[in-house]
Amino acid sequence: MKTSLLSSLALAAVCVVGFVAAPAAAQQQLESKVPMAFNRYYDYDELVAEFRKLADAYPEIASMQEVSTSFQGRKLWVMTINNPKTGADTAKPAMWIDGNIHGNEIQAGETVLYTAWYLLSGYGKIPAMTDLVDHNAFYLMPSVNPDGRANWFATPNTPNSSRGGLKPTDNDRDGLVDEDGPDDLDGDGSIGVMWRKDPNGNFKRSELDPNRMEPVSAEPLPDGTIRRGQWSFAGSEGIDNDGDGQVNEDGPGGYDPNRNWPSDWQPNHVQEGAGEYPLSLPESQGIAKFVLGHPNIAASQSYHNAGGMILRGPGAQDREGAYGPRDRATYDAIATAGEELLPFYRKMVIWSDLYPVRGGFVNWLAESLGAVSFTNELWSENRILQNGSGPTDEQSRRLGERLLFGQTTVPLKEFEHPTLGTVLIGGGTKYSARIPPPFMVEEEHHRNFAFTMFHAGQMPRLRFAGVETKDMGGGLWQVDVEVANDKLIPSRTERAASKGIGQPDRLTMKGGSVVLGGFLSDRFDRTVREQRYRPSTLEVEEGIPGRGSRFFRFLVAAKPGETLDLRYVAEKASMIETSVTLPSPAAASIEKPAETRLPTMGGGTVRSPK
Amino acid sequence: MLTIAALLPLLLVVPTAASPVPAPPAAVTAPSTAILLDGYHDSAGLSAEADAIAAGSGGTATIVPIGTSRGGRPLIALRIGTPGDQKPAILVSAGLDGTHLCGSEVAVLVAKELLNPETLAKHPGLFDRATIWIIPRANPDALEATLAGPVPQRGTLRPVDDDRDGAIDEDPAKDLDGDGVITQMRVKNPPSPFVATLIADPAEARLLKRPESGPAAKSVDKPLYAVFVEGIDADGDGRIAEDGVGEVDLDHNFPHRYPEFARDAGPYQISEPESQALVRFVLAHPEIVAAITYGRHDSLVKVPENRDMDATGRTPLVHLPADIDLYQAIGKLYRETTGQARATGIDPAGSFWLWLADHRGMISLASTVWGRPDVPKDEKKPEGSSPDAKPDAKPDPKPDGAAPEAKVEPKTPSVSLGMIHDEEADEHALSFAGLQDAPPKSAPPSVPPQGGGRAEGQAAPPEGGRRRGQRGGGGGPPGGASGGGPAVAGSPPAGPAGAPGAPAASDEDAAQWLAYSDAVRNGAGFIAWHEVQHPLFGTVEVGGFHPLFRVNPPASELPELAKKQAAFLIELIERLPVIDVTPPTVTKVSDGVYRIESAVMNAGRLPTVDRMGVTTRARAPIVVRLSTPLDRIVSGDRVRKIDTLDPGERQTLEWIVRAPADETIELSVGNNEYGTQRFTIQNGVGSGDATRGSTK
Repeated sequence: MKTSLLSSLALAAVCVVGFVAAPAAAQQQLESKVPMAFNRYYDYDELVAEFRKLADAYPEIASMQEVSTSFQGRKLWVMTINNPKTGADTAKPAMWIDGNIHGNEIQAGETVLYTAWYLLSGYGKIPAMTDLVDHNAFYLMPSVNPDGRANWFATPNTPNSSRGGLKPTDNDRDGLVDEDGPDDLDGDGSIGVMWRKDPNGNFKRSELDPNRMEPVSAEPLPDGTIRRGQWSFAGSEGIDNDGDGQVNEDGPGGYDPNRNWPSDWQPNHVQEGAGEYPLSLPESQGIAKFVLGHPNIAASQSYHNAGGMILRGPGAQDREGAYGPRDRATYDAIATAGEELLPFYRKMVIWSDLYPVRGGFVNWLAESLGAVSFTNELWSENRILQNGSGPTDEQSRRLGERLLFGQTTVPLKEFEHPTLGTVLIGGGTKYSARIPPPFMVEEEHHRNFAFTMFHAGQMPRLRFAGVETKDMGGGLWQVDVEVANDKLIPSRTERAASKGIGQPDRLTMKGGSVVLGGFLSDRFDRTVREQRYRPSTLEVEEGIPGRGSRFFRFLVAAKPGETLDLRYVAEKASMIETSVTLPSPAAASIEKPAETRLPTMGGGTVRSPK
Repeated sequence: MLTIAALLPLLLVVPTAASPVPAPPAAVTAPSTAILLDGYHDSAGLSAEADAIAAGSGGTATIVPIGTSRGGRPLIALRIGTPGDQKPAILVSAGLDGTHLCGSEVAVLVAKELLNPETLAKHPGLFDRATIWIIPRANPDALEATLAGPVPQRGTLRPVDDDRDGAIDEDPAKDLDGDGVITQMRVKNPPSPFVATLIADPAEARLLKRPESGPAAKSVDKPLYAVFVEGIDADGDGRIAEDGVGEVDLDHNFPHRYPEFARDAGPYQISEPESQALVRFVLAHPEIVAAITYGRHDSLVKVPENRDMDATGRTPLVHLPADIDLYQAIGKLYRETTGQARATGIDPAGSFWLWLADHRGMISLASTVWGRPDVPKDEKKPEGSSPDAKPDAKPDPKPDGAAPEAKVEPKTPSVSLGMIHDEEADEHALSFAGLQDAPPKSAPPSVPPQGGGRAEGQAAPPEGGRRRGQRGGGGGPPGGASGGGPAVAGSPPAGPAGAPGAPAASDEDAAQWLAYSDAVRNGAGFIAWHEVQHPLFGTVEVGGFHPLFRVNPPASELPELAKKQAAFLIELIERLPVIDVTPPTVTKVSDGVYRIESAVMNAGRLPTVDRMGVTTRARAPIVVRLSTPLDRIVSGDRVRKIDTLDPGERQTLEWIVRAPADETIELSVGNNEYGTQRFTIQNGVGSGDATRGSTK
């Protein structure tokens, strides 16, 4: 009996799941005014040109503005996506989305492009997109490091090079700058790795795959013979250009733009690559000016590669205190949703799960500016097998050969090096390891876009959930106000409230004469915590919590029939207004639900559900 | 020069119906506040002085523009030296704090002193040893505002919504008594929600103290006064003068231990045109090896001995333990040369000089230029005190007030408003007027205590107390916070405070300042408490220390102070490292194979780079290069970097090279700080004639 009941329940569950799951699998293709290919990569100029096409095609909700000029003179652009008919972008909660602060992490740029393309193409067609754009603003910057990106595309590189900016820097402190970088010795357009011929080497060429080097075990054979390889590792392809005995020790640039931001900035001896001082780079200066000028930024995403991570701060153990329990719960709820949308991605904390970072951009936005901020590390090798496990060396070789047709590998070949003698040069191209094969990248874009839209959709959206008036006699009215936020992100993060970041939210009562104003801890609280001065404008430092309400009480001297206006203003949420008219016959009455005006929504009146 | 009339037209207390009554201890004559500033220069005046110095220097001194202030005033550096940057430089900076007027004056006078023919005769070749850069006036807008009065302006004029209420600079201090200066306001039995916490100090009735409390108290006195900065509650938020003009304190705007979220720290590090100009200048001049900053910080009279590291564990709070001996030696030299015996102990978190020390890795020093002078014995003349008095010249062998300062970390900076030991007074307002570096309730010792395992507090020690704009939940009465211990030291220091047997004042330092004001400054340092009508409190008393009194000496003393500072600079210059390279010798090992030997030694009395400088990697190593191609160097490094050479330290340089008999080999040793010495080795014979030049 039991068993059959359970199995029929299970069957029903399967049916339900199947029924629910079906529509998701049959997503309709999105028509756009700007057809765009997402199975390819764009260099910096091409990327900007694609953005320009979108801005030109959707001028009513998209615009582009220049915010910085890079060290080498490239313009940095922000695209603003906003429906001005529902209010200025600065009057709405906004999400900052950027990518490619590390020049080699290129697919981050296309992910931002996809974001713009999908939002703009879907606006007015897909209700979810329309809702996102009508209620929020988006600031998109496809590449925070255009010099690094341009250089990565234009010159021979490894998957890891061209990461920083290109301001010449004296890495080896010999008084000369950028004088000894990698060299494409064999002229094949790629910077490979070098293996030096060495009778005491600890590597040998794989018998199965001569393009792979295998370590030789240090364990002696049973007869005591010490095993030797024929090769030892000799670093990236290059020579000792400055003749100091070191190879490739002072290449282009030599700093990390993502260590240059003002939150927990530390000098180079603490944080390698920090730059000379916070915001010392021209790119960072312009971006910081934009960000500081937009305190409505409530959320941010900065795309990087690689590893399949949904990262939040802090970047150092001694900054753990910057993420209090309430903020951690918000981050966890959003990141947990992301783990479902992004198979094989995991939610992580930067310092403990990745590595310590001081002066990181997302740390600045989260810890200094109070925006809920994530960094996604795009692409994980675990995705190639589509079962969540990383390929073995042997699988990698087969997949490289059969799935990628060998395009990500340069075969090892011998080269006579001026100082090292005979070397083998080859290995993965710059497109290997950190960047998805083009046929998989669109899915990466879409899933990350979907997560980021979920994140954006959790920016605070406030409503007056109740305004109750009570005649206290003698011309005195008690007005109880509930302001609710249906989203996960509070109007002020715990961090913002505890450090006094920006302005507190304000609830203003207009009309009558406010005798007392204050705070109720919950709807059943009987005594008010008074704000003794300026009681008609309550300063709400803690804001409205995520998926919750805050309760306020005013005592107002007013005449029956008088109208009282309420306005709630928050830096990181759209302003809301409502009004309540005191009943003419002096009898207790309860206005429920309150009339809520959302003036930023074209002046329409919305009845709040209670 | 400023005249009294031009500077402070409203300086006299105008007797009105509201404020006719002089305060009880009115033994001292009515204050003549402008006497404090008479002889000081305004911004244009300082520029003119600098211009005149440059013009009269015969080319040794030049004016170099380094930026523009927020208010559009030029920021300048004065360069003193012979042409060429291939020698070490010393940077003198002053006037970051717009109330530290004497620093700017002395900086300009130091230039004059250095260029004095007598100085040059005594120290020939001084400017061949080092270039001296003087930035006399880092914050001219604030200097102007301070001189214009009545509110002393410490920081830049960036508009800051100090109380975060959406209105900017709307509740500044107000000169209620119209005497041209902002002092304090004490309110007897203040109305709720304000709370009295202080009583008049029985030992010195002009000063206030916290009544004794706790089991050890001999008596229990009921608190009588609440103290505020002179002002009203212009914005009706229940707080007095909490949102004044500006400001960003430049000495809270630098990256080492940046006090993020402090209301006067700026939106981020180096956010101000003035701090940016300083940073650009410093980064453009890597030849600067040492710096001294005149301002409210001191690292010379009392050398910071704190050995703790910041939250990162890699940068010290002040100095690396390994550098403390060096700084002690320099401090001793400073005290012997200048005779300065007293200074303040203010935490340098976020200051310019600390950034130079710990991020730029140079030998960086801080001087207040002037400390509390001794009161001349048996010379307490309330009137007609001699302007020739040189109270700074000969400190007591056993200085009374200095003793606790030198041995004990002062609980309260002696430049603070001594009598405001009161949490009720909003520290936003306090700090501007009192040069008070930290709120009274968390007044730090010279460096904050190391909080074991604290997450962020270390990076921003003042933040907790400072950011009072927050009124989360809006419940608590503004300005009504309580808690925190008394800011006055519990046990009164021993010393002759007054007549033998008289009780010592609770704040001995403040009492000594009062005595000095009475004896030497004709009482101008302290405005006697007098009644004024206040819109919120009714009758209140306004009075207290003149906010500039304890920082700025009489102008007549400035030349003497400058002489001493110049003498110290010369002592420093004469101790700078000297890179002494032994001319290379060549010996034949075999046909075509030679041994080259040389050595480099620091023949000066300071290290080329201190340990912090080595740690930061911001200072250039001494680079030793041999021109022989790497593949013909049999032994030895072709390029060798020597991070530092201690005084007297010698490093041998040795190579074995294969070289054709007629090859010219070049050996170069040096960097941009000390110049590069080049030696040519020809035909197997080292030529001893060193040629100085720059690296390419």
